[in-house]
Amino acid sequence: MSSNPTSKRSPRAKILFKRFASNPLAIVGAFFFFFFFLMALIGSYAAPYPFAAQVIADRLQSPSWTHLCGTDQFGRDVFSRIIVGARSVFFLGGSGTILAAFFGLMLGLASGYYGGLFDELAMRACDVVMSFPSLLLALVFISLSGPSLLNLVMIVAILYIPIMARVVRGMTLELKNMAYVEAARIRGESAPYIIFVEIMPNTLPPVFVEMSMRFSYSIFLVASLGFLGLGVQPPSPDWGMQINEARGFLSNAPWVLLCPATAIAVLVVSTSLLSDGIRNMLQPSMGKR
Amino acid sequence: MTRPKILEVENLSISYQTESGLVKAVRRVSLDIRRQESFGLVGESGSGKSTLALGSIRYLAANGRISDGRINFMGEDITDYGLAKMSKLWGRHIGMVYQNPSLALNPSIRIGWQIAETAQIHRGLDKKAAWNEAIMTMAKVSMPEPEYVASLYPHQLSGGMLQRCVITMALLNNPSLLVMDEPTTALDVTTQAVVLDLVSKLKQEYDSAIFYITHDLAVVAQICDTIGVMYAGELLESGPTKTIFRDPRHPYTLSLIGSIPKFEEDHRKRSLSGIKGMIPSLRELPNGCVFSPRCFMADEECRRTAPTLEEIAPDRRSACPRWREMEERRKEMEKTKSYPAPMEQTAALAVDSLAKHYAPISGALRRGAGKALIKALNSVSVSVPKGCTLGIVGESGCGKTTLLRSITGLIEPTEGEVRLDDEPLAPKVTKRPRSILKKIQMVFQNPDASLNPNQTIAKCLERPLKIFTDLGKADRKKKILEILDSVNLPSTYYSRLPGELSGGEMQRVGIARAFAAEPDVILLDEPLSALDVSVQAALVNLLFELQVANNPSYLFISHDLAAVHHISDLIAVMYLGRVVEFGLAEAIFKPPFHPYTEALLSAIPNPDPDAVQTGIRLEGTVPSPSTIIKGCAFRSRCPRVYGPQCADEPPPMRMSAEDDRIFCHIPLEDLARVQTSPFHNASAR
Repeated sequence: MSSNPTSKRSPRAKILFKRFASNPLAIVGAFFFFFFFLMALIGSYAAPYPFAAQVIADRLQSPSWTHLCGTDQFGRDVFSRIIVGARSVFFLGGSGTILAAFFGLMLGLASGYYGGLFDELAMRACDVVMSFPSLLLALVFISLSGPSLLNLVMIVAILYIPIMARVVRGMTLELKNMAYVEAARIRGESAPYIIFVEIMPNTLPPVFVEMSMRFSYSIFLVASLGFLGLGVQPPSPDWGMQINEARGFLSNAPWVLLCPATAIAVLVVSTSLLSDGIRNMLQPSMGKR
Repeated sequence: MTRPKILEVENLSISYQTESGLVKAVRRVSLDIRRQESFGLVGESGSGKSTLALGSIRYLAANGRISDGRINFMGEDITDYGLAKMSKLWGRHIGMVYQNPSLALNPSIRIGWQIAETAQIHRGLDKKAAWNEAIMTMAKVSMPEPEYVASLYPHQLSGGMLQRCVITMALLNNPSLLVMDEPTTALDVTTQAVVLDLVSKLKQEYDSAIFYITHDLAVVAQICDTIGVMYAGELLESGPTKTIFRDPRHPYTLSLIGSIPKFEEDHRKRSLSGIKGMIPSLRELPNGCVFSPRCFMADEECRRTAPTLEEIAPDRRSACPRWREMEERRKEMEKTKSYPAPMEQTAALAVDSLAKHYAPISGALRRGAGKALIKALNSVSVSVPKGCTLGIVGESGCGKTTLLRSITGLIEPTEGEVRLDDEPLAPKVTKRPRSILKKIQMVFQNPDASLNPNQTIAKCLERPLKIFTDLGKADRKKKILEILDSVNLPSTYYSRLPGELSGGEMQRVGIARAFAAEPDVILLDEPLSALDVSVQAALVNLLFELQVANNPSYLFISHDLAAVHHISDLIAVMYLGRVVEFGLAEAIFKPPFHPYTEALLSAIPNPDPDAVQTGIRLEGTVPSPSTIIKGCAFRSRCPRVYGPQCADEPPPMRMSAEDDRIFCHIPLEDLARVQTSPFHNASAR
């Protein structure tokens, strides 16, 4: 197949890519996802106007070729603010999800492998966190600790660690009884070796799938917090905050609200399409509807 | 042979539309099944036997399609019948019995109503009449207390009883054709014997033709009149059972018969013929004859032109154009290699009154505390000398796996000890020094689960070398290639992942891993049962070769008495966590037997259609391991209960003249008088 002899794994990668590419919805999802991701990286250079530039004379302009999404009550270009605002969504949701995946993975592996009292305590703690509506818990946490970027990342992580931990724990419970794990125990392998070499690599595909799903939920969470004024603080642009500010003139300038709302919807939907695609790619037997 | 044809399949081809294209699962198959005849379709997994059977009753999955050929059922051409017309035949004239009875029944409907439903729908009986009909039919299939059983839900019955219910359901409307897809594969051997008896009885009492699908040649030999042998979607040979077994006329059939261990004393510890390679993928079929890449007599011509199934004698068809040579080939094949029984006296591994009791407690809240203990093992004592094989045989739930796991130290026994070279071992694996760990290795049942899907074969084999030997990196690589060669795997497998290997190849890697550090004792946990017959044979030979070369002791556990008999020097028979009989293999299979051994022996289907077996059948189910048993554990099912002491006192150990230990109240002379040897058919020939 591949002429390159060094890429030994290419058949598997090829199969995965083929499986992903055969799903048109996933491709659409991936397209929009990477569009926003690109904007998050280079948004402030790509935006047609500086996101904070106020041109009072051009207040509440309707969408046109000069202002794709119109302007807001201060005459700022809505499109530019959406593009630049992508950064906070990706930063908060992305780093929160990655942290949650890491700690959830560790907690789930330990909990599932060792079992016993530790498992019981860890899982009950997870139940407690999961029993609160996530927005409520986030509100309490942010109002107590202040809306800094670090705190926002932390609350996203705290909310999603239990979910990740449960996924990994379930996998670990199943994997630790596999014959190859028993073979390792009969060889006298240490617990860390068994956990990290024999078990962990097999839990990663579902972790990736769960991460992509968690990320799409975190977009909602970050936008909701922004809407409530507890997200990224001005002057940094934020989609939730944009929606909140635009509430007052919904009737005469709906685009100021609808455009960031559409951005949220498009990103959330495209992320879930992408995550479906990833799931079908990594676990083709599951996820068939 | 004037009985009317019930099912006529002519030149049938079936293909599946899959994501990666069209798969031709069945190609140009023709067969007839007559009234009162039972037709056995034998084939390994992936041979298309289920597709053929389901296709011939038009019951294919949504992506399956009959691409060519005709099907006649009771004189009518049903090839193009629509769903509505077929629905009238299914359940009315065609009955179906599936492999797994617990999936075939609805768990939330009482058994009786599920059975009665068939009569209500197809014959318009009212509820009461259908119910009565169901009870009557249940009585006909020798269901004990049919009315009581009819009022139960499926989860309240054992697998064997459920399968009888499914058979009742299939027979209720007195169908012309009964399709049975591996109906006994999910059952224990003693239960299988009861179900097979039932099928043979039904053959005589009902007019139905039986279309029986199985991978197990021995089962077919026992109950079918005619056999068709399927391979990679094609029928290779067909004919009357007796002649096919005595005189196979296709190399595949011949190899397949040579692959099963024969239940004959002089055939023990001999190599099996086996078949090299594996069944081809239906997507990449070989040119010419489908069997040619694995055939021991294939030549250029075979690889070029595809043969057709031809009539070679009345009622006999073979797809091998060289069928005339088969008789000579058969005689050649019967010359098998024998492996000597090394009879050392010093025990390599000894298990001394080992017991494992579980407390049914779960969770941190200690739910279930105070309930009766689950006694998985009760004072089990066995030992295996150096270089010998101890076979441990018993049905599911007899504690054989618990015994192996206690020996490895994966679970800690409640009582007793395990001794290696007369040194007691620490009960927990984590407490054992590396020098001890090196000496005991294990091969697992399920090859898919025994290799980490993320590790290459090299990594998997390197790890034991790294831990247990002081070889350098280059030496380890050399050694891995040597090991791969010793299990007959090409060195190109070095960097492969397990997912790229077939089941048999994965099991070879599993065996290679166990052998890598040259252990003294290898525990084999049903290493063959997940594999196809032809692959099993090659692995049996491999195990023999490796034992001769490296002289390890084997502890081989299996539910398959024939396989245990074939490879073991010593045998222990287990029932409900106890050893009921333990001794030299040749002594175990001669009277006197423990009554349970006797029942097992008469339950195993014999691959010799001429065999006469004693008809001892066990009714009832194995008691729960938490039952408190004062006397003999086997008493509740024993066909030879001796007296009140069986219930009250634990059975004494009786030593036969040949050092065979039997735990039974019946004096051995009395047992010997009423029991007959399982080999009596063999000696008569």
